[in-house]
Amino acid sequence: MFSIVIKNIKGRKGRSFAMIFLAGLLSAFVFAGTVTVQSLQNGFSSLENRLGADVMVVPYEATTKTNLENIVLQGSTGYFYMDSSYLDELSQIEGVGEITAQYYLASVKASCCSIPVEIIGFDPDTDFVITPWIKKSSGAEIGYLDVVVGNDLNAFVGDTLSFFGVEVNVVAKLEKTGTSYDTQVFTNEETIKTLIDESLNKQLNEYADINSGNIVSCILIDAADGYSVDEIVNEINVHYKKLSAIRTQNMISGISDSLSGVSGIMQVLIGAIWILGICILIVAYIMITGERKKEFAVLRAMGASGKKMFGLVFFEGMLLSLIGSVFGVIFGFVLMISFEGAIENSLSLPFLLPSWGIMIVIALAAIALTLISGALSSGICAKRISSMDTGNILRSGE
Amino acid sequence: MILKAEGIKKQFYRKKESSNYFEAVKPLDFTVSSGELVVIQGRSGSGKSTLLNMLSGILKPDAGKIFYDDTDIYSMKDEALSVFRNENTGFIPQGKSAVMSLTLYENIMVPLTIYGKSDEEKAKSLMERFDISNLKDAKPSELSGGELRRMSIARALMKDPKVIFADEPTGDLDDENTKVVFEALKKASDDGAIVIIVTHEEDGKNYADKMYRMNAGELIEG
Repeated sequence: MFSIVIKNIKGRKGRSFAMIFLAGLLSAFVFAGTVTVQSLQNGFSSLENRLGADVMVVPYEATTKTNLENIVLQGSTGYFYMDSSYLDELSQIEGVGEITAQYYLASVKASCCSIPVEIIGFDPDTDFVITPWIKKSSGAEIGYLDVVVGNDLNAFVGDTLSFFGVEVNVVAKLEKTGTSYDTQVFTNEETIKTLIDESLNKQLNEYADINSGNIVSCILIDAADGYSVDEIVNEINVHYKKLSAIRTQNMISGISDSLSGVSGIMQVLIGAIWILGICILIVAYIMITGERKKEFAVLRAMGASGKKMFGLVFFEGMLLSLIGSVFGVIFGFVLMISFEGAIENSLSLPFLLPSWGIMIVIALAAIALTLISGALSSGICAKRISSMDTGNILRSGE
Repeated sequence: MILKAEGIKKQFYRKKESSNYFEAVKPLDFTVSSGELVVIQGRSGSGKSTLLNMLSGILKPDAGKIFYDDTDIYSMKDEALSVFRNENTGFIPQGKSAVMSLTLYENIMVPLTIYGKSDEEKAKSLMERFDISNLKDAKPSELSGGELRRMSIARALMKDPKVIFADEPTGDLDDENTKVVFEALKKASDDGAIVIIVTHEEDGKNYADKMYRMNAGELIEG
């Protein structure tokens, strides 16, 4: 009996293609939509980890003259400095657990990139934010004039890059993070100070009167267990007028709100498209089976039972849905990979594709959802066909 | 085999008329035995196709019983009745009745295919008998009305049924094809099958062992 199904699918190519296309569209949307939502959540989670500290302290002017959030969260270039003595002072505040300094510098032109990149220096001895990522990505040790590059930069391990005339070696490339990390360059304290000095020598630094030996760009603090982050923030903001302490959670609250909005819309859209898809499939199957009513009646007259007729229509629907859903998932996958950058740019939110394992789970879920849609729609038609009045159909010549 | 109908009748719901129901087949009794070819004539809408469908087991009567020997066919559940019909009856539906995605050969094989069986030799011999061997791989859309009808008869004979039902088997056929169809059905009857033909044409009477006339749901012999 099922050989009739296969022949029917092959024999009516246009109709079969239309049903496969519909099922494919449904599964492609469910897959791509779910991957997008998952990527946004991954990106946000990656961003939370990337910030890695409870409090960020920057010069007060950094919050007024530059767009701090764009530098930290979006990967824009920019830099600012404050006296390095604040590091010791802030470490004395009650409740401060871990504390480390970072150094920012924007390259004017880098051999790896067509646009300036943000170079971030850190102290490997005290850093608790960047080092875990580098260890996770490569485990490479960063020596003097060594750099680690973000995943989106066109530079690879072993390459030599030139910043302000100083040649540095790429010793590692970070895994994709979906955050500003992907377009930044990381190096140790010694190297960044050399680069800052060269930028000053070449008069390419906005701050002409600084001394790289006694400046830092920002100080990152993790509260000790049992201490309030807000109290540390207040303590700094009240007693250090030239500084601005920012709770990192507040920095990403805007992104969190946008993410919730986009994710919510996507989830509603996925649900709506799925329901719409089921409705379209039901209408399509009803039209197709209606058109073939006489054929089904003939099969019934030849001795096919209602159960066999149900199986015939249901199997055909499931087979077309399965083929469509597999093609749809492949199409959705190619779409996501091809337009990952464009989607990331258009959403302006951290965006990190899920791991292969999660992608496979989402793909299977999209296939399963499409099969459920196919089962529902073809099942309704199969039920109608299996219980149709054969005699009346043959009698009326429909 | 004896096919016997006892007091069967059928009503249909009618939306547009003043009375809600009309009686397509009024209560009737009917008996036919192996080797008999019965022709039921009547005008369109007289109830002959409804009667044929009831006798063949695909349209349950509102009242009465139909026996194939001692088997009350409508007392069987759908699954069992379907197998019974597949094994004992051959049906030639009215009009074009091919499965459009199958070839002529595959269409002839349908009564076997639906139960996972095959009989290539039988199909070949029937195609030769009805002179459609050269059309084995043709799709129904490529066949003429006469060829389709010959395919339909070959399909009905695939399982050497004990009872053959033919609904307007010669409608829209020319004289030559009409003769081929009636002779094939007559041969099946001569070979021991019950053959029941409903037609609104006069041609069948030359082949009939028994003639009936259907008029406004009533069956009249002769």
